[in-house]
Formats: sequence, structure tokens, C-alpha cells
Amino acid sequence: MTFQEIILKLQNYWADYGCVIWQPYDIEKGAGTFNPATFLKALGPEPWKCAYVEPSRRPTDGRYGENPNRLQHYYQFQVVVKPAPDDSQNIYLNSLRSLGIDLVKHDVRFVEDDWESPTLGATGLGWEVWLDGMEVTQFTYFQQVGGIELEPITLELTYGLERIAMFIQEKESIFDLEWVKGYTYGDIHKQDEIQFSTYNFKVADTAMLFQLFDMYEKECQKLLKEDLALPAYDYVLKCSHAFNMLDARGVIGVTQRTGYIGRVRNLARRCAESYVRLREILHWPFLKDNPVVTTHHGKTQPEH
Amino acid sequence: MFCNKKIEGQETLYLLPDILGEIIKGISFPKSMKWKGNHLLFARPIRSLLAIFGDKVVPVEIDGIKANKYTFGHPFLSEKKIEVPKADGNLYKQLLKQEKVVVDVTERREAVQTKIAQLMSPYDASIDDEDLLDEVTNLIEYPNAIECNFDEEFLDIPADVIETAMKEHQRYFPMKKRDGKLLAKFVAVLNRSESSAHTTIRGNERVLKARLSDARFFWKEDKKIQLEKRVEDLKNLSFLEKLGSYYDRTNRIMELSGFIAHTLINVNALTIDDAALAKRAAFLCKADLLTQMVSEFPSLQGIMGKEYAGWDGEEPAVALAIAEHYMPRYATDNIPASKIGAVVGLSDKFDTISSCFALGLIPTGSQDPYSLRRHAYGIIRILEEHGFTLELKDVFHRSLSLLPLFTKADSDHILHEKLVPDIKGFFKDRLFQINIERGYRYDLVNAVLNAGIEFDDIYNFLQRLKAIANISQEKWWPELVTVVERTFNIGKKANTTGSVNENLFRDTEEYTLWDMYKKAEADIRKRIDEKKYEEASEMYCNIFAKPVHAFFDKVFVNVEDERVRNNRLLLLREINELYSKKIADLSQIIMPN
Repeated sequence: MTFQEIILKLQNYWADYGCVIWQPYDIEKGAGTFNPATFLKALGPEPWKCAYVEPSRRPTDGRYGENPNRLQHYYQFQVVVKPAPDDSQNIYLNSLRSLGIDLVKHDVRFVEDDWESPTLGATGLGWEVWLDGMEVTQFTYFQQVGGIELEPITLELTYGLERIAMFIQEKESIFDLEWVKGYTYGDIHKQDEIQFSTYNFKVADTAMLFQLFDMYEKECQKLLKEDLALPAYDYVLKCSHAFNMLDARGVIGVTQRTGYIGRVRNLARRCAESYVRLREILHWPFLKDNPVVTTHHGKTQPEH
Repeated sequence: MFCNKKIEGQETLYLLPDILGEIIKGISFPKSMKWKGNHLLFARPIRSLLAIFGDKVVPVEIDGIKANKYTFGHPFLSEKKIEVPKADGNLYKQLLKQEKVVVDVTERREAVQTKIAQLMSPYDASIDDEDLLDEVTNLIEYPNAIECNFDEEFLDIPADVIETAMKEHQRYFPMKKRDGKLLAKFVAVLNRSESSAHTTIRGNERVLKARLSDARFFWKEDKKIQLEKRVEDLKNLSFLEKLGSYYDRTNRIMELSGFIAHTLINVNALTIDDAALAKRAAFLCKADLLTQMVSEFPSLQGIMGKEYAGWDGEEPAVALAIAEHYMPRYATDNIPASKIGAVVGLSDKFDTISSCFALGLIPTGSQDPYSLRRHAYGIIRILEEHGFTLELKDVFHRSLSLLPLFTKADSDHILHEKLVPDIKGFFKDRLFQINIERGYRYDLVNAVLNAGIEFDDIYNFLQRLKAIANISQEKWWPELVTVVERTFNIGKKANTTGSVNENLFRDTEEYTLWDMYKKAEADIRKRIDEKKYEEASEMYCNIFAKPVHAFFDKVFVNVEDERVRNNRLLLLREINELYSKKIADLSQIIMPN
């Protein structure tokens, strides 16, 4: 099964489950969790089901294309379901079966894992899912997002697409994965790895990035004052990426690091709060089928 | 007024739901989660409940889940709903085993252990990590294990790195010969039978290969920068708030190593060459925190420092000390074997304890986020096992005064009056606790802790404790205790600081006792100075038991004449202190009736 067939199968599986097939968000980010379809939609009482591919950037993980399994740019397949279904493990395992993985033949393991994103003020508990020792999915029940305790709970599944492909295609290097007949992953992305590793580690203008961080932060604060949660959140992502770049350039000390993460988290928290207010003013539009719901903001009677 | 109230007995079956509900909700976990948002917290989601009493379902309900008589087998190998007809532990285990779940932890652990051992024995290898065995036991339901290989070319990476990559990331068991040599093989634990093991073996081998490739990348990259070149960059790595960077900390550890080395050189416990090596090791000891390998595998701190120092061509003793200075890393770990490692390790721990106390980060109850108790335990064991003589008070005074927190003006006051006594109190508690755990009687430990010279010299404290524990088995022990106790009880009333005046003696027994004291004092002190505590004690007991009792029988201490009275009290205090000042305060001893 080719890399793109894996994506298509997962999309079909989750579309059949009733998910909105979302699209990658057009700003650099470290993981699918940063996409507003996860971060913002996990907040508040409204139900939400969604799946999408997310190109993810981790500047510090660049290896100039020399390491067979580390990339500074890779793909996640992200699924969020709110409220978390009772038979979530089975639903997930069926998605693996839909990829043709024989769960009786392989060793499948749920290894306890506590997940945390200090930048997003998000925490969750769940498992790493292993297939013959390879971690292929993070299976997480979000507990907090943007510092806000969640109710109901959102289930987040993050598939490592390259890893699943390596497992299915039995390849030892990401670059050898067959993307589609005639093209390997390396054909498509190896040059990116070489060029971006050089850029991330050696060339990126740090003075510019420090300045950008400040500018993004300022813009975000301005937007928050005007209750423009959605554009404000874009600037959280931009801040986060600027920080990741500075981190890769090795110009952020440990103390400073905590400070920068705190600044991004603070913005993320305020965006989350602003977004919840926005949805509440709109009377939680996605709740139209569920007339009354209790939230920790009190009873809310949605409009019909 | 009274009344009789009759409370009807209730049937067990109907009492159980509340009890079981309380038990389940009362289980506490290090971290709990919600999965619906209805505020029930548990380690992971509860999906089904099996509760039976006799052959009846206990009508308990947790979070909307009603108990029934069903449970489930292995998620992939069985997928069956199992009916458990009655409350019978053995039947329950048997039914589950049929569906590929070994429910008994001990049985599961033994099964997986046996399986691993079978795979290892042909290579003369064995399991060396019980904690990992415990962990994997709880990751599986149907234990099995497979033998896997990796490319021998990876064996040029330090063995500790390979083992850590295996254990921490993958929970694999490294195949290590009894002589410690690592083979290019490992054992992976499975949650299933071995059929189709071939695909599973290849899968696990691929995963480890990826991990080792990454480790090799770090090993290659890190070696490009010498450790000594990294020290300067420790300025960017902050330690605790207000206490500067790891660069500042490095300087403090170097200073303290110098101070400790100097003290030890004075008592011929260390050579001048050792001191120079210790200083070099202290200079380099934190530099590996900046390597990629340690940021990927934090548990390799120190160990990588040793590897990189070796690569840089540092003295082997320096490299070894870098690895050793973190020891003991956990309660049952060894202490640094080399003296140089011991000196740097002590300095590191003294600095951590001083830093935390200075910032008020003091352990309370079960809270000890900076592992200060482990550090104190490390200090105690290093001093004990290396036989190092150090005065706690002096070292901590020095260590605290190196912190950038105190001005010259307030430093002596704060250090002497507050911090040093607080830290000593903390060590007193530790010494008490550790020795109780080692099986010493608490009153013996207290007696030695409360000797006049206290426990400032920990090595000496432990020597005295051992001696006291030995002589507490002797026939003459009760007599010794009585002498020290009687002289203590009365001697503490003496309110002057003067010395004994022979001209004020009135009774024969006073003269006799004082004569005995004068004759024996030097001999006893000599033995004390030579740390021959058992001999000194026996001698003390033999000499003073009779005259002290004779004194109490014949001499009335509380006479009108204040000078005579005080002189008698002073005499008894001299006798008491000859023992209790430098050996143990036996008035703390509780004698059985």
C-alpha cells in the first residue's frame, strides 16, 4: 500500500465514521494539535468530529536527510472526536484493520502515556499505540486545552503516517517509502530536509526571528482586545513557530526558554477563553440537536 | 435515660455496592483522568464492571456502568465475552487464561521471566533489570518473548547508550553476557503467542535500528565539540531561580571539591595529585548536559560525560569521576568507587542541599521534589564507605557562603543561626531514619546522635553507633548505662562552670571517686581518640561502676553548703562527660524492665 493510499484509506474510514474531513491549516505548526480544528474545537460543550492530514514542522529534528527516520517536516493524520466515544479503542483498531493490518498476526500494544503540550497549556492521558514495537499512534483523552478543563472530553488520535507506512511497506528508511508508483518519499522530500536543516540550524536570521516573535505577540494581544479570537490564534501559531526556529538555532537558554514557552501559553490561553466566549454568545451553534447542556459556565439554552 | 435501638442486619449482597463503590472511587493514582467529563476520575477509562457475590451479581454502579457477570479476554486473540458464573478466584483465573489473559501478576511475571531466561541462557546472558521486568509484566496479558538481533556495527556506540535506547524507549531486554559484554541481540516481550513471530521479530528489529541510528548520529555529532569547550556554554543553562547557571554551579562544585580535598589531604586520606584530578573532574562534570545525547536520554547524564571525556583524552580517573559523581542514582545504587568521584560527588550533593535550603525548598512529608533525602543519603554513604572525616558544619558553612544570595554582612548571621542548624537538623533526621532502617534500636541511635560531639563527623558517628550496638549485647551493658544515667541525672543540676576542688571534699567516697577519675581519665581518653570505643566503654564501666554507686550510697549531695554541693555536682558531671561527650549519651537508653 502506497503512502498516499494510506492517507486515502484513513480519510475514507473516518469520513464513513461521520468526521468532517478538514484540511491542513495554512500556517507552520509543530503538530496537528495546533490546528484550530483541534485546539479551538476541543473547547466548550459542542460536539465535533473531524479528521485531517497535518504537515508538521519540528526544526530541531532536522538531520540533513541523513537519518533514516527523523525529519524536520513530516505528516500526521489527526482525528478528534468530541465527546469521546465509549468504544474508542475498537473504533481506532478498526481503522488499522482498514489499512489491512492483521492485529492477530502483529503485536499490538497500548502503552500508557501522559501527554502534555506546555506551549498550548494542554494535557491529556492515554496511550502510545505500538505495532511490533513501533509507536504508530498517540491515543489521548484531552483533559485541558488552553488551561481550560474540558467538558465533555475530546478524544485525539494522532497517527504518524510515515511510521505506519514504514510498518506496512516494511521499509527501514522513510526516504524509501513508496509515495505512489514511481515516486518515493525521498524523491519528494529529501531536498527539503537537506535545505531546511541547513536553514533551521545555520542560516535563519535570529535577530529577525526574535523581532518577529515580539511583533506576532503584540499583534495577537491587540486582536485579543478586540475579541478576534480566530485571527489572534493564527498569531499564536506564528509565535510558536518563531520560537521553534530560535530553539533550533540554539540561541535560547534554558531560563529564557521557559519564559518564551510561557508567553506562547499565555496567548493560547487567552485565545481559548476568547473563543469560548464567542461560541457562548452564538449559543453554541453545533448544539442545535441537543437543546440543553450543562457547562461549567452554567445552564445554557441554545437558540432554535 | 437510655434507649434500645435495634438495627436490623442487612444482607451482604446489598451492603456490598456501597462498599465496592467507595473502594473503587477511593483508589488514588499518581495521575487520574476524566473520559466523559462527568467528574469520575480514574487512571484510565472504566468500560465494564464484573462484581459477583456467590452466584449473584452485586448491584453496584459506577459512573453509569452497571456491574454484571461478564468480562473480556485478550483484545486480539480472543475477543470473547466471558461469563463468570460465581465468585471463585480460581475459576475466574482459569476462564481468563482460556481466553489468553494471565490475570495473576505473579504468575504473569514468572512466565515472562522464564521465557526471557530461556532465550538468554544459550548466550550465557541473564536479565539484569527487575524494574523493567515489573513494567513489561504490566504491559501484557499473555506473556511471551522473542529473540531479535541488531547489526554488530552499532556496537561501536557506548554500551550504556544502546542499553538505554533499548530499555527506555522500547522496553527491550539487552542481551548481556555475565562478564558484562553486550551482544548484538535483544529480547522483546510480546503480548501474544509466538506464531508469526517472524514478522514481529523483523518489526522490532527495524524499530531498534532506527533508534540506534539516531543514537549514532548524536554520538558522532557530540564528539565534534570537546567537553572543556562546552563548559563556558553552561552559562546558558540555568540551575534554580536566583542561583545562577550551571556554569556558576560548576564553579561552586570546583571550590567545594578543593575545600574537601584539602581537608582530606590534611588527614592523609587523599593525595595532592588526587586533588588536582578532582578539580578537573569537577570542572567538566556538568558539561555533558549540553550534548544532544543527554538531551535525548537524560538518564545518561554523567555516563556520557565519561564517554566524551575519554574520547577527548582526559585522564581515565577524571572520566570515571564524571560518571560517578551522580552516584548513588537510586536507593540501592553503589556509591562512587574512586576517591576522586567521591569528592566531586560530595561537592555536587552539598551544593544541591545548600542551594535548596537557602531557597527554602525543604522536603516536607512525602514531598521531596529535589531529591534532597537521596542526596543526604548519598553523602552519608560516601563518607561511611570511604571513611572520610569531614565536619558537616564546616562544609555546609563553606558551601552556603559560595551561593550568590548573601551579602558579607548578613551571611554569617543567616548561615550560623539559621541555615547550618536547619541542615544539621535535616541530617539528624536522615541519620536517625537510615539507621532505624538498618535495624538499629532507636534509643541507641538517639544516644549516639546526642553525644556531646553530636554527628558532625558522620563517619565517626557511624563508628560509635556500631560500637554501642555491639556493647549493648554485653553483660556489663546495664551497669554502664546506670553509671552514665545516674551521673547525668544529677550532674545536669550543676549550675556553675568551675572545676572540681579537692579541698571541698568531705567524704571518703568523694576522694576515692576523684582519685579513680584522675588515674583513669588519660587512659580512657586515649582509647576514645584511637576510636577504640568498645575498650574505652568497658574500661569506663569497670572503673566507675563501683565507686559511683558507693558515692550515691554514702554521700548526700544536696547539702546546705552551696560550695560543697556544687563541687559534688561538678565531680559527677566530669565523670558523666568523660563518657557522654565523645561516645554516647546513654541517659537516652530505655532499659527493659
